[in-house]
Amino acid sequence: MKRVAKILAVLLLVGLCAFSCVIGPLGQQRVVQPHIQMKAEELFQVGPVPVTNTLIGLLLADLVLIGLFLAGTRHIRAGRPEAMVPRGLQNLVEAIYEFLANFLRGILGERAEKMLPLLITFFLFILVANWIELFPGFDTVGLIEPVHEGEGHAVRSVGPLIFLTHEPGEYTLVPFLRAANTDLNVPLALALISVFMTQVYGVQALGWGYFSRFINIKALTSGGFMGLMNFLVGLLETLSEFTKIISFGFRLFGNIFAGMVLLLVISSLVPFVAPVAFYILELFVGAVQALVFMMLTAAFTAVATAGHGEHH
Amino acid sequence: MEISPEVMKLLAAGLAIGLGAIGPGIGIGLVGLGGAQATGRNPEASGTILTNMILAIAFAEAVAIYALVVALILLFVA
Repeated sequence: MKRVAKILAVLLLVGLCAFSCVIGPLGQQRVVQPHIQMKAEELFQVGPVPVTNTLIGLLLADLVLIGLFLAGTRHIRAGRPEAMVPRGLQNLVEAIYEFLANFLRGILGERAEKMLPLLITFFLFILVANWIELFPGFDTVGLIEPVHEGEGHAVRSVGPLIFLTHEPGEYTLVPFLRAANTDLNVPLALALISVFMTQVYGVQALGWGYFSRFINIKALTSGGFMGLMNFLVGLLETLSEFTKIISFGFRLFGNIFAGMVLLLVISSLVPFVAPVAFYILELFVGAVQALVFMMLTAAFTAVATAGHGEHH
Repeated sequence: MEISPEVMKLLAAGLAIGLGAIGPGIGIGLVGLGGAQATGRNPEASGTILTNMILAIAFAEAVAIYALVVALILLFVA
């Protein structure tokens, strides 16, 4: 059976390649220049809420992640005895969790346990949301709509399918699916959660005295030049909390948006073979950005929860 | 090509991210060099070194991100 499945998979791949080789030239003589837009495209409205293609990408990422982990932990949740010896998917899920948890315990020490759910969710969500972009159909399949701004393309239909052509016209493509992190709102929301939770953990660890790192009245009243300097350092510290939000948000957004643009441009320059190398690069970038987001949150939390005079 | 505001905008965006990436590029390279050397000298400490390395890279990279923000604002907003 496994052999048959393998042969079928290979046949499917070859068929897809052949299909794209034939249908590509049929649809157009030259490759379409990609239309790059920073704002997420709006597909339709549900009541007052506009549904954008990045929202659908986000929900898809959620669905994949929640589905994987619900399926992986079903024996544990049912309390079945076979959960004691993990097999198959449960094994994978447990291995992922163990690896990340041990990695974070190395950074945070005994404080890690309380923060593990948030940090590991950050990592897994960003990873899945980034990697899902690499599936075929993202950014390429969608509605053909009249163009509002910029250059449009003429369309040409092949059977029931409609393709954009390289000739100028008045239509543009609004893709159904787009990676969540190419919409600035998602990385910014993650950044806000990260920075806010850092404050929460800081207060939990140090009490209200945590805020003396921002407004250091004790240093000011102790007087002297150094006291004043320490007070000013506290104000700088306050400012750096806000720049953290910006750098968290734009780091993730910039990397993933640039990745999307890179893939689109390369696919339009050299449609075959060449994009493969960049897909591998994007796999790497997606994983690194997820790791960096988690690690930075962990490191900032470690700094915030370490009191004065406590050395770790 | 005539020098119009549109052209200047594109040029400015390119220069902003291009020049802004030089410093962080050198910085991240130096951090990587330090990290690799440190791991070579003391392989047992590689976990701690990786943590600190990624933290330092993130701080250097933040500067490039500010340049990116400026370039994006020039391209899409201004």
